[in-house]
Amino acid sequence: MTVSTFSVVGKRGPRVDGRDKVTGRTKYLDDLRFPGMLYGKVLRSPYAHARVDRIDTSRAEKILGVRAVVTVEDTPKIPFGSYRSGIKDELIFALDKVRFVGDEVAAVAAIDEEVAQEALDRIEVEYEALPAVFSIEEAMKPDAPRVHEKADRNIASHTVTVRGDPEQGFRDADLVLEERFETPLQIHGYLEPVGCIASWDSSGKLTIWAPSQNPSWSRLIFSEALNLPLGKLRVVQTSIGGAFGGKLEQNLYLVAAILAKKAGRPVKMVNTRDEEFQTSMPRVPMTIHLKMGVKKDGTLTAKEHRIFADNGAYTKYASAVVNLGTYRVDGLYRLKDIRNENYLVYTNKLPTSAFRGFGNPQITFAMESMLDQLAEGIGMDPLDLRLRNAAEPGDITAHGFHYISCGLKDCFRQVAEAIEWKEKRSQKGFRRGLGISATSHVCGNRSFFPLFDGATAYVRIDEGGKVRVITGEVEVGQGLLTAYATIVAEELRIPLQEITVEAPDTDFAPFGLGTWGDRGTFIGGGAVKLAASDARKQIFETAAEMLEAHPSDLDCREGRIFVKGAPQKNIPFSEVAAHAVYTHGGSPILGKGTFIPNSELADPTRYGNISGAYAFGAQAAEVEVDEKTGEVRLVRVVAAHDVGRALNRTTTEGQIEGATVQGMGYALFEELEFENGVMLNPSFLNYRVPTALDVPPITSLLVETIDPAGPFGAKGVAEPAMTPTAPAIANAIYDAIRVRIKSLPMTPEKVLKSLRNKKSLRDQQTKTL
Amino acid sequence: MKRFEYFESADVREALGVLTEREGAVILGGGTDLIPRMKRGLISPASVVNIALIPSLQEIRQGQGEFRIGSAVPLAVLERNPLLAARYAALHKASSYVASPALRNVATLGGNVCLGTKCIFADQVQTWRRALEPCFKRGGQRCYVVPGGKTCHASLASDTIPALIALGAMGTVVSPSGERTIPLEELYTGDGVRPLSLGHRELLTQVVLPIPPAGGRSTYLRYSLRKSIDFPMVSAGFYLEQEEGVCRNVRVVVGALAPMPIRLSALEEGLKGKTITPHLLREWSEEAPKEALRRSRSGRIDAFLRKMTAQLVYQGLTEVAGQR
Repeated sequence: MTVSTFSVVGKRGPRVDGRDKVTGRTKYLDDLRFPGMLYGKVLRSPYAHARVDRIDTSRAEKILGVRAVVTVEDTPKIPFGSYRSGIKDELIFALDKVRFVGDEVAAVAAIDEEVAQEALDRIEVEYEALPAVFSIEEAMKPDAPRVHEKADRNIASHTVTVRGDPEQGFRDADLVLEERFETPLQIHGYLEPVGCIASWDSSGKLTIWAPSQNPSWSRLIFSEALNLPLGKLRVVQTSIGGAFGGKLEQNLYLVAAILAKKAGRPVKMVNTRDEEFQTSMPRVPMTIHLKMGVKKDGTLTAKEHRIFADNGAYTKYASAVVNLGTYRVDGLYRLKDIRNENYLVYTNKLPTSAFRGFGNPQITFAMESMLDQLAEGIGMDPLDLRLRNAAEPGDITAHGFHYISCGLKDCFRQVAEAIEWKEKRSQKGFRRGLGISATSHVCGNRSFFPLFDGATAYVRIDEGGKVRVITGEVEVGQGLLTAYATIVAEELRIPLQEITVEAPDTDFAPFGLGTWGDRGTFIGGGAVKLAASDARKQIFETAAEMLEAHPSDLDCREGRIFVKGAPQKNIPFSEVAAHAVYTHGGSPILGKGTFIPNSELADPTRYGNISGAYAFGAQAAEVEVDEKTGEVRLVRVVAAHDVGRALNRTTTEGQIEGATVQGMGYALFEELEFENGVMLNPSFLNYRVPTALDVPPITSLLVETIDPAGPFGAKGVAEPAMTPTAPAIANAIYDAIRVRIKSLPMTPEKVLKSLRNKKSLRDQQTKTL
Repeated sequence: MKRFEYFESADVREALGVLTEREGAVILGGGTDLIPRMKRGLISPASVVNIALIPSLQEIRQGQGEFRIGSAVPLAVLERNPLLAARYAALHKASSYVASPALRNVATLGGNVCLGTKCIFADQVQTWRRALEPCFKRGGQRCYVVPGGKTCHASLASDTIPALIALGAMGTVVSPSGERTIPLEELYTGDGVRPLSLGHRELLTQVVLPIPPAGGRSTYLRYSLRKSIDFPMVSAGFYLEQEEGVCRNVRVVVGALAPMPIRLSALEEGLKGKTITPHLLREWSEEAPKEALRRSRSGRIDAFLRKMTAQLVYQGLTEVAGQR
């Protein structure tokens, strides 16, 4: 199929949900109200680590308007954790002790928020403060206080993976470098705070309305934590105002369920912005010790990393982030000899978890920074070094990933051309610098849900010709609805406006793994395409009867089904739909599609082709550094991404731009700061996300490799697009002022300090000479 | 947010009436700072008096040798005023740096002048405030900004203050017992806990700017991590008059480093009567952080901010002296 034959795929256009969103019509969770609904609030620990000796809720219960006060005693006390992480270290509310400032201690449901807040103030809790640990170094000392009794030296998990012969690899190298890199706590920064409404019916069935990224999967975890059969639990996804990995399972939903049960009424809970900062699950901070070897000709010979990752007080997805997230980078370049060691360490801080990139931004920052150091060490252009080692189609990586489509080298070439790499690197302006970096990512990940990989979709056409798409996959702002509508519009050859993509409701939607790991377009979209094709087959069969033609001779355009070669023989799509429904006992046309990618479950060493396709990208940044103030001005970013095929160019570019801005924030601005475990900047004022005035021009280039397994060749782009930004900026800073910043964010203070260190080092060297 | 009584005043007298009758009533201008602070439980006033609708406080008038700006004039109005841009560049620039366009549409000049001090340690919601032993600003006996500090080191970071003081602004303060016009500098106590000298029943009604002589130039510079919606880490307002290359009058006011604006009087005296050269400006700029530190009565200004201060003062002086 060539591009010209598509009617909507690959075109530009607004998102299908755009109009309602910008005109305020979209209803988010906080817009929903039920009769008799109560408002819930959580009492949170003011201590980073303390024994809870006594909780007295009696005074709170007496307040007029309070309908329920709950503590751990009202819960089933079944430890839970993220699905299949293997670590279940959490209860709904603290049992014997609290482990971070913000840990849930009790909750109240009342007729309004003011009364609920007043009641919280009346709950008496006796704490006995315990010594706490806030850094990985402190936490790993043998005599350090334990966050969880079971975890010796506070190590939640420790893994080692070896491929090939790394020792030999390092011996083969002409240059071996070792460095330590650090990455910060970054918050998702979505605008819609987490919230939910929980309600029980008379049969004991619980419904949770929530902006959930993974309704079907959340339901499994909630069923376990609440000791409730799956059939008694329904999760309905509400419109999501941004998620970025932060709206997977949330404890708040469980708290609301406990409150609603005790109160016998629906309970709504919405985080304040402070709570969002204090208790949402930010990016896992890592200390990365990286060692790499290279030959004089630029061939990379070996890589070794030792990562110490901050889990926070409970294990969410940080174990997966560190173990399943940080090894993907090894397939970006042709590395065979690898040793990876990962420590996940408890601290008395908020739990860390999934965030766009899922470990990749951390390790890629380290590796892509080091590649520039290696290039300089052997006197090679950093771009040439990358091109020499870059992955290619047909590669099977050290960890067993099969690259079918792979446009990495094209991404490099396009980025280099657009930013004028060769010209500018050789004759740069004063204190200006260019940097380049790349990424590879999965499109779905078999490792997370071993029972199956894949997705199922229904395309339902009613008697009015209205087409509805029903899946278990989730729009989180990334443009999934638009992607799915585009796929269906293309398959059925009907206008986009005729298609509605429904949000999942676990009572009606197929089991869907949800939105994470760049699987929405590739896997969910694959199912939607098959379902649409099935629906087309059915409606063409009916049309064929009506037009007295053969189904294979039919086509559809502008809402009319016609006979190819004899377009005057045609009939409106809606008329055919009505006929189909009325001649089949009222049954709507129901196209069904199931897409199962060609992925495999990895072995215990995590070797295996975990994804059906892999996404790639490269970015280049140009910066200007003020050596007097340490300010880094990002002049421009060029981002080329192998997206397989862009289903909608506008939304695909939007993804790349948004991700680049998030990557820029990671590089230059964003970091949660603490004093004795208390977060100091829980607000958008003091936690700085780049604003429109800070963001430079971003050029998005789409490299279309047309993946054979993807819907119309499409792959994912949401996560990989944020990964290369920070290292590209770090490399550009080095190019500008010959100072390597190994810790994010690269603030003016750090730049100045590094410049000073460099100067004093130079002074010393001069003296010794 | 705790419940409160809300009053909308039609004139200044009415507003003063409420302030007199209601103990602890607070004044609402644009509300861009007050309301978030109430939401976070940093203050829980029983009564709130809205003065933003009082017509006389929304006026901008040119009088005899002076320029009067009502305290309820939104910053966005100042930003768009061409006369202001031409004559009072410092204030014009300072107004345009505050927060973001949407906030400037409602935030008032009076609100910015009376903003008070900010501190990431003290300005936390209740749960987190409970987690740390209270600091001076929260009724305690310690400071987290300067460990071991004997006093509050919260930052007065509002943009318009250094600009206005550099321009020689006066403030008109009314109370039930009358009206007084004071140099704006006198509005600030230097105490981080109670940074304003305004009494509970007093209201800032206008800011009065002298009309500068021809050749008087001003500017305002700030250093912040982000380009919008950010308070400066350090800022400075500048005013300079020169005659044939000789400095006749100069005012330099540094903001955000301390609980009050810091007038660099030694620097001013050092420049007055001198022929302006880049060397002279550089020399005095290097002295600026030391003087700021001395006058701020604190040891809070770290090496990075000292460097930024010297840099900012040099840039600002160079600009108003027309040296670039």
